[in-house]
Amino acid sequence: MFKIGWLRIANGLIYLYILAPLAVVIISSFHPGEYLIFPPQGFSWRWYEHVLMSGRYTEPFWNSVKIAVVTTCFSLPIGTLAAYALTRYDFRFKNAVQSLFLSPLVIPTLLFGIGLLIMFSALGVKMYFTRLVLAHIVLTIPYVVRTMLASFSQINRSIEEASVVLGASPARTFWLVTLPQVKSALAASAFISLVMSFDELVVALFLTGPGLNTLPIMIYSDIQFNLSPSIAAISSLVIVATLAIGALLIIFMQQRTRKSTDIEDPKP
Amino acid sequence: MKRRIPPHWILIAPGLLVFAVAFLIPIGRLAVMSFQENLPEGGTGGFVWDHYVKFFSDPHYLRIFGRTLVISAVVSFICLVMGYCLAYGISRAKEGRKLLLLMIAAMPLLTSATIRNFGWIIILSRKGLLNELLLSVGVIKEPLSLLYTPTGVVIALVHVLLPYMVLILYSVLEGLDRNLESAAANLGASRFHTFRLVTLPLSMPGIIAGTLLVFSISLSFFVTPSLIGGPKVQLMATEIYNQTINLLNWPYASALALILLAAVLIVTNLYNRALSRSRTEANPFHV
Repeated sequence: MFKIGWLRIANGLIYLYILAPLAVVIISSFHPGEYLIFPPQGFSWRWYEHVLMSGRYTEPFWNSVKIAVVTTCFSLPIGTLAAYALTRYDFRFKNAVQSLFLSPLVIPTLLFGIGLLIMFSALGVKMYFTRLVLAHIVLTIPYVVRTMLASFSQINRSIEEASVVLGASPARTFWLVTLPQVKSALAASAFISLVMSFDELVVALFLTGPGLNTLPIMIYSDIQFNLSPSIAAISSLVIVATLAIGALLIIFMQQRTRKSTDIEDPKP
Repeated sequence: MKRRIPPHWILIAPGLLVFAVAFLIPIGRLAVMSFQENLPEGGTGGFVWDHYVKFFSDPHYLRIFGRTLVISAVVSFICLVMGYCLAYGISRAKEGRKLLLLMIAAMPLLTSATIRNFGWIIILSRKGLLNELLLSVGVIKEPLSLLYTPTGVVIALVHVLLPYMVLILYSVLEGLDRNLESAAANLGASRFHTFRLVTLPLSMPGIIAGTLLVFSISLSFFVTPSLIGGPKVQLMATEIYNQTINLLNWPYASALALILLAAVLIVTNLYNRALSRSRTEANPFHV
């Protein structure tokens, strides 16, 4: 145990380091001038108006939202079913299947993106939206599988058994008994999947083409070639929106855990 | 009689299908391409070893690879020191504050690396926040050039990867049996000795796992070297991107990507071993 004072100062500086880039982005988004400088000289909403009105980021934003939503609509059920099979059944190649579903966490996304680019161009597939969504489904499934594996292995199996004994089919049991018990894990998986897909840049750089621009690509290329306070404004909007959704999710999950602990243990 | 397909195969079938089509085949295709001759206009020819020979015999590429390893090692070390301080502080904080502190430490995970690197560009550039601050205080006479240097890449990359380190170290430090520390203190060990002889050894599995995780992610990280490093700090990831998009030498890019993958897999393998060892050895006092 070090002297706490010494550690406190060090940690204060580290927290400053963690928060500085985000704070700087948000603060500089209010700069009224044309060029990105810090600290901003004055205060204006000008770049927010520009971002929201000019339409430069509108289409990429909606593209990213669409990709994230469609991706999650696939990765959430696919990952949940796979995680359920992996926790409830014992079968040959189970470990291999589990490692396969988790392996995109290990494989560099760069390599995965190039592999897909090579395959799609060999096949002549030019549907940029579809191929990007397919890639994002693979990239987000590991997060869903990991979250749901943990959640399924925690819930009480005797409730499921009771449901089957009382005559419900396995599918009905899964839908009416199992899933409601893992609601908060489902919400967390969906959130992670949405954010991952919405923010994903590397694979998108390889797989998009003319006519399909995503928000991360737009921000990335503007940082390189078109540095202006409008990037700070759109980035701040993304930061605030993500944090707000994340905070809502945490509140939702805490309420759920409070409720479930109430049932199990009525005593304080 | 028709044999029934077992239910678990039906449940994992959609996942297997997606992974076969969009994961195994493209990676296999990339592996094959890394052995194909590169012909002009994106064509590919017969089987050759050339790309691997080229990599291991050209000092230019070996230097890029070496630079990648060095930067990743430096990033992992700094992450470890900073992450340990944070995780230690959080695990010793009051119960009510722990969650808040942990959330601040992990918050950057929710914002994309691109946006966080953009913040670093504003801070590190020649007329940026850091230079203005240091000039006005009088620490430096000339503005430092940090953008487009390895130092800048390290500063920004540590920021991207620190949350992973904190989360791993926190879970280990939080799981430690605090009675052992009290016992050491009661037996007369100073705070420093208690830390060095009890806390630090007990958190070793987390240290190893966290360092290897950060090292393996930073080996292949693309956004930071691309935005902060620019063309002046070439790393494996940016070189692979360059070969694919600008030079259109896909076979060579594939070979580079596979070499990088081999490095990542070696580190990941060590990581998994460290993790499984930590499960059995982290707490030698509870069997």
